[in-house]
Formats: sequence, C-alpha cells, structure tokens
Amino acid sequence: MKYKCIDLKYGKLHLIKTKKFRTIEVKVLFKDEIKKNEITKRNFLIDYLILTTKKYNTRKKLAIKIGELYSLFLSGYNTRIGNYYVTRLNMSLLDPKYTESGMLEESFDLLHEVIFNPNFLNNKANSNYFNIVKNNLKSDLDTITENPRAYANLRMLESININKPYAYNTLGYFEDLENITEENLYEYYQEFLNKSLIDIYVIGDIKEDEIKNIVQEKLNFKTLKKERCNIYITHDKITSRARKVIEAKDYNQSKLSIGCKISNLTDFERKYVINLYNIILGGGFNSKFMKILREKKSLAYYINSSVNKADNMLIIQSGISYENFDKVIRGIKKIMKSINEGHVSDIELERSKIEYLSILEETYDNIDSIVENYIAKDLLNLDDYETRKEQIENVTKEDIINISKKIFPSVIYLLKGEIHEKN
Amino acid sequence: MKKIEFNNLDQEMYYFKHQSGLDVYVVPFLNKKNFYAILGCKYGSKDVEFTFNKKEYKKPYGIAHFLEHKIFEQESGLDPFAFFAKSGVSANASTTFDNTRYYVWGVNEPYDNIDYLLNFVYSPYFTDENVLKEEGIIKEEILMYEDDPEWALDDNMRKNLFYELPVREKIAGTVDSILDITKEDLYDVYKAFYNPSNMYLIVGGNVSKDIIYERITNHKILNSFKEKTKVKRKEYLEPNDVKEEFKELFMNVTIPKIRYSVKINKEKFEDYSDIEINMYMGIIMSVLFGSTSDFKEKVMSENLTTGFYVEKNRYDKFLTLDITAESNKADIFIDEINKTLENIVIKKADFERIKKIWIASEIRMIDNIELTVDNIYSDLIMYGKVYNNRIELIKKLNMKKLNKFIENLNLTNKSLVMILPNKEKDN
Repeated sequence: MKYKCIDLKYGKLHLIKTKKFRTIEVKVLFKDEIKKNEITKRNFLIDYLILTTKKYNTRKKLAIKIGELYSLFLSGYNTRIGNYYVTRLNMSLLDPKYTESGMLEESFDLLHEVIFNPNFLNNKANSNYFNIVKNNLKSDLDTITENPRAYANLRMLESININKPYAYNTLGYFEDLENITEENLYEYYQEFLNKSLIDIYVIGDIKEDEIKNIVQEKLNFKTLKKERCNIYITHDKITSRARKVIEAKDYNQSKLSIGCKISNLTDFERKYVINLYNIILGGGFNSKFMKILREKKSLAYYINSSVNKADNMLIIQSGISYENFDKVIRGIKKIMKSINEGHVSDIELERSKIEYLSILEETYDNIDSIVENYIAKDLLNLDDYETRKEQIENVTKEDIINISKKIFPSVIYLLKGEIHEKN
Repeated sequence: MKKIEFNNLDQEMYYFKHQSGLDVYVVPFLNKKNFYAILGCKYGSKDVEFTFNKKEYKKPYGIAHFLEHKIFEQESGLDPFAFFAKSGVSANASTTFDNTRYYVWGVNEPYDNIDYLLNFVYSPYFTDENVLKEEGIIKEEILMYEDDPEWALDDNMRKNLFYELPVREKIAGTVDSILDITKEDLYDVYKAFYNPSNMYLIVGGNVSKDIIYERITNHKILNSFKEKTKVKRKEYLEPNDVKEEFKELFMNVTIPKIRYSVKINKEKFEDYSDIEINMYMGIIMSVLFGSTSDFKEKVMSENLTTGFYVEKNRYDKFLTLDITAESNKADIFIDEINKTLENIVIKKADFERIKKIWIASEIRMIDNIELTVDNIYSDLIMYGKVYNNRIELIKKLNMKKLNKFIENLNLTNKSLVMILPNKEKDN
C-alpha cells in the first residue's frame, strides 16, 4: 500500500494505492467548526444533494444512471467529531478492469453533478424533493425516543452540559427545520461550498496522474485553505461527585448511560493509553465489566464502555432492570476504583495490547476502514500504522493506573423503563 | 479435497467431508490478513418438537438460543473468550429460526483458534448453577428486543401468518418460557442436533487449505464422533391461508409502524429451483418497490411514508413478502401497496438493469471475507448446497420464466400488523 498527499489549491488530495480490492472508493470531506443552528440545515442539504441533480432531476433518473455505472454506491452524511462537523460525500465503484473503460471518468462526472449541479432552479429547491427531505428529517426527530439506547445517551450528554458540542443533537432541531425554505437552502448551498475545508481521499488500484487530472477537472472547488479551530473539546470544570439523573418512559428495559470526563491527557495517553484502559474496563467480551457484571452477577446482557477522543469523554452503557440499578452502579464504581488502586494484571494488559493490534490489523482487509483510518489519523493528529504498532508496546501498568485517575464520572443517567416494573 | 471456482473471479474454494460427517469449506484469500470461520448447526428456535432415539421430545421455546449461550460454558472453568483473547481473536454466536452459528475472526493463529472453536462447541458442560445464572442475562436480552418496534412487528406478524409452525414464537422465547429450561433439556437437544453430520464448518481468509485439512482430519474430539445421529423433526400441517388478517398494538412510538406481509406457498412453483424462486421474487420486489419504482416515487412525494423497506423471508415451505413502513397515512399507503401488487408488469429494461446491478454486487462480494463466508453458509442452510456460479445463474434469468412466475403468484393472501403510539390507546 502506498500513500501520497497532494496539495491542491483548495485542500488536499490523499491517494492510497492498493491492489487488494476490486473497487475504487472516493470520499470528499467538507470540514467546518460545528454550529448548533447549522446542524439541521447541513443535514438537509446533504440529503437533498444526493437525492437528485439538475441533470438527473428525478429519483428514478438518478437511480437509473447509478445502475448504468454498474451499481455505483453513492452516499452522503454528516458526523460530529469534537468541535467539527464533517460532511462526507462517498462514491464506491467497481474497478473498471471488471466493467468497462471510461467508467472512472463517468463516475466522477456523476459526483461532479451531485456537488456542482444540484437540483436548484431559479435559486430555489425543487418543492417535491424539498418536502421529501423535510418529511424524512422531521420523522427522524419525531422518532428519537424509539431508540432508547441512543436517546439515553443524548439525554446523558445534555445533562452534562447542554451548551457543549458533544450535547448537540446531530439529528437536528425542529425549530431550525421549520425555518429552512426552498430559497434559503440554495443560499446555504453556496455558503457550504465556499467555506468548508476540503479533503479528497481516493483508494484502490489507481494511477496517480490519472486521478490527479480527473480530480482537478471534475472537482474544481473555489474555496481556499484556512485555519482550523481545535477539534478537541476540553472541559471547563470537573466535579468529584457524579450527578444522578433519572427519567422515565414506557420501555420494558431501563437504559443506563454514564458520561465520564477525561482531563489533562498527555499526547501518549491520548494516542495509546486510553485505548488500552477502555479495552480493559469495558471495551469488549473480555473486559472487567463483562466478566464481573454480566458473567458473574448476571446483571446485564450488554455492558460496555467506549472512548470518544475528540470529546475527551468515556461513556458507559448498559440495559438493565430497574431493581438492579444500585447494584450495577456499585459494581461499576468498584471496578473503576479497583483499577485506580492498581488491580490490573499483566495478563489483562498483555491481552489488551493484542486486542488493540488485532483491531488495527483487521481494518486492513476492508477498503472503507483503511480510508477511515487515514481520515481519523489526519483529523485527530494520530500516528501512522507502523508507529502505532511500535508505540502500543510501550504502555505500562503504571500508565493504566495513572490514566484511571484522570477519568471522572460526571453524570449517571438512567432512562427508567416503566412497563416491566408495573407487571 | 475438491476444488471449486467462484464465478470465474480468480477466487477458489475447497470442499471436503470429515469422517464424522462434518462438511468443511475453505476459501483461502491470498491478499488478506484476517480469517473468519463459522461452525454452524442446522438447529434453531423452531426445532422444539422432534423424535430422537425413538423418543419423542417437546422442549420449551427459546431453548436453541439458551443452548447457544451455554455452549460457551466449559468444565475446566476456562472462558472461550479468554482463550481467543490470547491471540486477539474475537468470537460470537447467534441463533435464528433454523440454525445456530458460532464464529471467530481475527488475524493471529487461525489454525489453533479454529481448532479451539471445534473444541468448545463439542465440549458441553451444563450444570444447574450455570443454567440458573444465564436466566438473568437472557431476560435482559429479551427485554431489550421488546422495546424495539421492528422486532415487535416481526414477532406479531409471524403469529398472524401461521397457525402451526413454531416460528410463531420468538427466537429467544419469553421471560417465562426460559425459566422451564433445565440442564437435562440442554443435553437432550445437544445430543440430538449438535452432531457433526448436522453441521458445517466454513473458513475464509488468510489460511492454507492443506493445513486446515490436516488439522480437521486429525481433530481429536471430532474423530471421537462415531455415529451420525438421526433426528426426525415434527412436521406441521400448515394451512395456506393466513391465520389473522390484522393486528393492532400500542407501543412507545411517535409515528405509526406497519408490516404488510404476503404468505406464499412455494410448492406452486414446481418448475423453479429454490434459488430461482428467490431470484425472481427479488427481481419483482426491486422493480415494484426499489429505488426506480413508481411506487417509491409516489409514496415519498405524497408523504405517505417517511421510510419503508421490503424483504422476503422463508419459513418451511412458505415464502413471505414483507413490507415494513413508518406512516402517518397508513390507509392510503396500504392502498398503494395493494394497487401495486394487483397488476404486476415488468419491463425488459428494468429486468436487465437489475441483473446488471446484481452481477456487480457479486464482484464486490468476493472482496470481502465475511460476506463470502456468510453467503456460503446461508446457501448451505437455505439450499443445502453452495452456488459458486451465481453470475451465470443471474445471466440465465429470463423474461419468459419471470412472466410465468408472476402468473403463478397469488399476492392476495396477506396480513397486516400496526403499531400505534401509546397515547392513542385510550382514545
């Protein structure tokens, strides 16, 4: 695999050459500082862009074109990463070796249509498709409580600090949705094109010059490179006692979500130690949570932890019966405290390293994971593959114990399921 | 060992049968780092009534899934996940109506880990204590799914569609039915169904076929199976019509959810192989409801739904066409489905376009170890054989057979399940 980064006027072109796959994947990233009142609009725009274009101005026409390109995969979505809102427009096509020559250009032509010739007429969106997108976004917001796990997680983050980007609802907001019009969507489209920071990733059995020429011709953005804001979210204050928040809804099972602030990590801790700490605590089937709270005490079917580096946050989630709430919380606290007091075995540390390396290596058989690894590395300023393999070995038991002192449970949130308790 | 080519895409597969009766498939990928192996058993949640060694059994609902959890219990006290973790390999298992699978994936030590996959599945150890311990965990698993509207649609629809088939019941059983399961029950079903002659091993990825062959041939526990078991599953006389045409329930949803299902007896298509039935049905579904369909254009434009998907499922000799949607105007949406299914006409251009898309996805599939192995496994479960020449099969689909298929298709045998918001319950 060969990686090369080329500077373009408006951003960077990242080329990853590999012969391992029968597809070519293209990702265009638009990065911006996240603003709460822009989330809904940006979601709206991306959904609108990939639904139709000026040339393929019905869903059917676009779908037929996509079929002609040997079932090209086209997708667009936004994700929040720390203080950033990142838009991806993705395209995956079969390597023309397996279809016919010219398919690479034709696929880029379509991507060009999607980005530069969207379905706006007289500076207005098409009413029909505007309404389809609006209805879909509205239903996403309407049904937010139908996924209790995600809903509990959102409410937990809002309870920590509703003004921080981690607590923004990336599905958007009703009031913002109501304010979007066919006209101001067009205005926002122009703003979006002109202000985002752009990175383009292309991976596959590609030729550098060919891709560079096609990209320069078909994806000719006018934006200029500019300063970034800091992607990492820092915490203003950290309290030593966690707050309990309990809300009730008519579910069968109660959902637990605990948000822990992570503070003052060194570069090495942020890149490596926190990953291993998480694996040991609740990151997989062999974690302390699973071994003790599921297998030994039968308190849950799933109980896990995950780290969000950009948010400086560790999140613990589980589905439990309400009568076990106190038992589960005591169990979690006891396990976290035990690490704090040095109860990490050599075997646990060794296995967490093996698991880390194994997850890292696994990604290299999947074309999408490879690109996503490069994207994460660039966004979060992480090390490359080879460095990671070396550095992870340097993590010691003391590192794990030290980092455990930098993790502070902030809110213990329970979405209490009321149906079962009533029976 | 038999060599089998895949769709002429420079990818080979190897097959051999172990003396115990275990069918083994190996797909070595030359340019990958990972491996992925499935040990699957033709035993699922529907197999509750059966005859084994001249004795008749009727077991509690949910026992196949309970057994899947308990297979991980070892007499030595060692946890299989801990064994796999030594080399950074992951493992998991899942149960469906007709099969249970145990799988491992990772990068390191494929041969030792696959050996161990066989070891732990073939070393049952059930005690009163470890059975009791599992009840709490599975109870939470069942409650988790009960909060999911899509599972509720599915569970209620199977009850609507079928009179007799045990697929009426949930895969995991109920919070009450699992309390009846004893260690003796688990040993009974284990002995009846977990015999290598009722199982498959499929391995894909960075492995050598010769080493797999050698390790499996010399596998101690596998070689200790001397007899192939004979189990007779109870046969059910399932009527062709649907049991209930409608059911309404209330849950914590904001927008009503619907499931519209058609029950089709496959025996009407005697000139078609099972895979042909699946493919022609798939073409019809794509044309009628897919991204280029008039149906989709209309229901989205008129805001009759904010999202829907169409699937097909198979239960015994029945095929179901299932449409799931979220809709505030369910009546009109359902009318549109009825109209669409009343008069099916498929144009040649649409037919050919879908074939082209399917061929492209076959090429994509072969880049992916998991998909390749999963497809082999599901072929074995569904058809009892592996289709290594799908691209040929797709090319051979033709309008004449499609039209004859449509003529034979009766789509009026249908049922509906609706989930309404809790707040409408009292109105």
